[in-house]
Amino acid sequence: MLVYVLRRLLVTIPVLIAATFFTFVLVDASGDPLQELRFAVPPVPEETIQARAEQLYLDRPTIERYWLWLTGVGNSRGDIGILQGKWGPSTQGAMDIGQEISERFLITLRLVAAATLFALGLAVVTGVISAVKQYSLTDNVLTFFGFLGLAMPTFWLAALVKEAGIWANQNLGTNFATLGATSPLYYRMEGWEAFMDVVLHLVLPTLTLMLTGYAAISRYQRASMLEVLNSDYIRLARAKGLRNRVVMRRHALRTALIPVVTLAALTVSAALTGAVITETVFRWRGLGTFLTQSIAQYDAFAVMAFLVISGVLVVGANLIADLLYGVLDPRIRYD
Amino acid sequence: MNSKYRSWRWIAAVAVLGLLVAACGGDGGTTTTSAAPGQTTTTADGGEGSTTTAPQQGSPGLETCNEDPLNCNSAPRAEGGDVVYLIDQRWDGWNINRVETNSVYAVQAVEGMQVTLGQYMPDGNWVWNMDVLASEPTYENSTITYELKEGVVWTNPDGSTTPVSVDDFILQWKFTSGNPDHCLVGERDPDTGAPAEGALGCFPASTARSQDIVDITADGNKVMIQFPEGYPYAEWFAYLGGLYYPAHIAEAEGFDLSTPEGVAEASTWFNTTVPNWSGGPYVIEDATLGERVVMVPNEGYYGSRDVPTLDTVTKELVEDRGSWIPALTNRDIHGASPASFDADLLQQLQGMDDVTYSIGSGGAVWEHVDMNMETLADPALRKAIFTAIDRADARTRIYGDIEPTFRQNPIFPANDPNYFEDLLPEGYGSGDVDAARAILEEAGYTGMDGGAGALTDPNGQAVPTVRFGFSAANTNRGTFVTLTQSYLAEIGINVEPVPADNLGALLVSPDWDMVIFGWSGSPLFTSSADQFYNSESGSNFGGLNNPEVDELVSAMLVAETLDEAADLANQAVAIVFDEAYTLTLWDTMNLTFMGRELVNARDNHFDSTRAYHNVGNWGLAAAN
Repeated sequence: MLVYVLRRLLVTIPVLIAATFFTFVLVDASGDPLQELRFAVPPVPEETIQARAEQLYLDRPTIERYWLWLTGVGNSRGDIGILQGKWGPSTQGAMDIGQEISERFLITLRLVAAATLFALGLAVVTGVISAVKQYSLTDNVLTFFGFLGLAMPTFWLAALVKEAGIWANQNLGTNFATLGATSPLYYRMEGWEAFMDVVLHLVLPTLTLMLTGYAAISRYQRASMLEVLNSDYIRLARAKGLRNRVVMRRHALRTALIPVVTLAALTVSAALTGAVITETVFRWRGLGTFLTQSIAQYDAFAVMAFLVISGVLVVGANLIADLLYGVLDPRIRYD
Repeated sequence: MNSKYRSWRWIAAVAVLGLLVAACGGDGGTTTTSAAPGQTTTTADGGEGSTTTAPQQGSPGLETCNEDPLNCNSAPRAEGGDVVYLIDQRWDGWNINRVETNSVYAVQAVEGMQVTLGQYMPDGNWVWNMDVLASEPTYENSTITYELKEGVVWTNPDGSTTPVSVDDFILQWKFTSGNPDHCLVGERDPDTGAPAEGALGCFPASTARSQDIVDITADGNKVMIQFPEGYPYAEWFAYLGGLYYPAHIAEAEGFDLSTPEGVAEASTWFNTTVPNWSGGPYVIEDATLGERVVMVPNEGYYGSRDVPTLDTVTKELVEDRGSWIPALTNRDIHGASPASFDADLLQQLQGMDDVTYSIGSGGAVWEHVDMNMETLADPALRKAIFTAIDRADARTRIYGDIEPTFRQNPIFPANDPNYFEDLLPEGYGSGDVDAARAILEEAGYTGMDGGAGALTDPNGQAVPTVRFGFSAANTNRGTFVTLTQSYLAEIGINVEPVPADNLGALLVSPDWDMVIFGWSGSPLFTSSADQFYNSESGSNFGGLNNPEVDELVSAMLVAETLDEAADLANQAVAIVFDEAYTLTLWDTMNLTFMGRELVNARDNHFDSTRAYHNVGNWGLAAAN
């Protein structure tokens, strides 16, 4: 298995390089980060604009900039070169890309982890119920909501959930937060109060991401469960007189979970994608908003930082999914 | 096994119940912003004598701001309370002198912590801060003299205080002079030790005036900023509105401000360090760059005006326009003065009972159409085009009820209290098709009533399609271009819209015959006309080349008084209009909205800090 993992990791290197290169070229071609300076009133001194261009390496050709970003070789300032752990200068003023992305990563992780966990839990439960009660009213209702979740655009669902949260606050006396990952005065809070502040800010965005994520897995779980329930060994178990609960839990569910568990790793990357929109709507200072603001500022090095982090996450999640499949299904072996 | 599962079930049930109860419960005691009207509450810290009157819903509101810009929404304040106010775009640093940081959003983020010397007020007049100044500053013998009051101090991060001194003025000068002998970014020549070629100062966003200063000295409490002898400076009063960066803090951090390298390091440090010192009514207690600033009253504040009553003011970034109304409804924010707005936002505000809003303009940003003087070389054709465009119709179709103020003068807005003159020639923007056709007919054109593309010039050649450039991201401008197609079809001209993803690139390209865009300015006008209309200016995108205009706008730069400069500006504008180079459209309107619990906050269209300009005076409405 170790050989397999190493082989997979080696394959990801050219994938990441190709992805970063094309993204870099696209961001670089999308606009001029110094445009606002060039047309400012009163005008910014030309020397300052030139110096700023040099500071951001904008005076170099795109290919050279990419090379610098990747290796840092050929530069004496020591602020660039991802292979040396330097993320490069940002067009966004005093922002330190490395520090910013590490802080935001934890915030996004909180959201994605909570959403994935709840989405999986809900999906497994509803998927199993739908399968066990196939074609019943319950199955139809759950199927309806499953498809609704699949069809609903994330930005729309997020706005609806937000409105619902505000309605609940005004009419039911709840205290759901609709803005930010924490309250402005969170830094003064301690213990239970701080914990609850985080939770109350987490509820609505998590619900949004969870609903968009759960639908697909739920359908997957239902199909998987149905396949298992119609298999011979389940019929045999029942014929042997085992109680229905035992058949369901020990024999059917355990087997039906295998494809879903492997799907879980991939759900992380899907949730990361959904987080871009959810964070924007709920104004979370996470990786999603980091990406959108970096694109808006033509901040190529910051976009690259996001790409590296998300690329590594997705590649890692895929690898884990493959490995989990081998662990859970004894018929599969990696050589 | 079963009992273990049962235990987990109970634990899970209790946890869920706990969370639900907490979600439905109170606020934790420190984060809510108001109590019910008329109630008496105790502040969270429970300090001595800390009972306060609960805020009262129902402030006077912003409805009278256009008539009474200085006093609208005035009301007694309750002691205490927390207010969250919007900033609608990120800011990228804390040193607002630096080019990568300087923006209205950065200025708004730090507003409240600076030593304010003077500022433009909501009525458009400059007012000195007599809490800081012992007498009104003067400009005599090419020297600005500030006399500071005794007791004007910085509050340091440890709570101690340090007097404001001439060193703070000098540091500000060095940050903005662009002189490598003041602030060295770059290398020194190894042979001479002097700054090497290409070295510059601290990345200043502007070196205007600072680069001309000869020296800054002190005499007791007086600070003298000396310019070259005979230096004309009509807008001297606005050279320095405030001090943000204390020299003693930089020195305490180990920066040697007597060397250019030390100043450069200090400049960078101030840009990356959250300013936790203050010379104003508030001090920043917590901040995240570009996202959030939490301010608390400055315990060492010396002033008598704008003394805070609020416990905290939070400046919160919310860029997504669609989130503003939900955030206001939920009181995640209490108000906003965004850079732009649309009719939909206004409509939503109109449906909210507990919210007040105002719409106005200081004329800082305005829309206009410029001509390409090379491709549309015939003045008669340009004048006919400007006459055929219907500003009133376009304004109604684009803005509906908002009705931004028509711009009649590119340098001075209609509400300029001192120098505005209505110089727009009669007929421009009137949509008078008959008058436009008459202009063309007189100049020898034919086919003006034959529909788009039918117009022929005096030589019998078809007038080419007019390419009309605009920023693709600006839907209002796109709509204006579409409307112009129909206006100009009436005089036989075909218009091709040229949307551009990059407006800046479009402006400097020759790829347009007409272009619509906005200029951003300020009440300081003496350099504007030079930038817009001087034939040598890089911002004279349409290529206006009129020696008389050049002479007038150059004279403006060295005018000794504002009256003289304004007169020269208006003379230049009259010629520019006569050349049919530019058609001014309308001012960009400002919207400010807030919950009715917030009092003494009001917009300031003449200052980039907008409503934050008097943040120290904000409060929650006191009970009647």
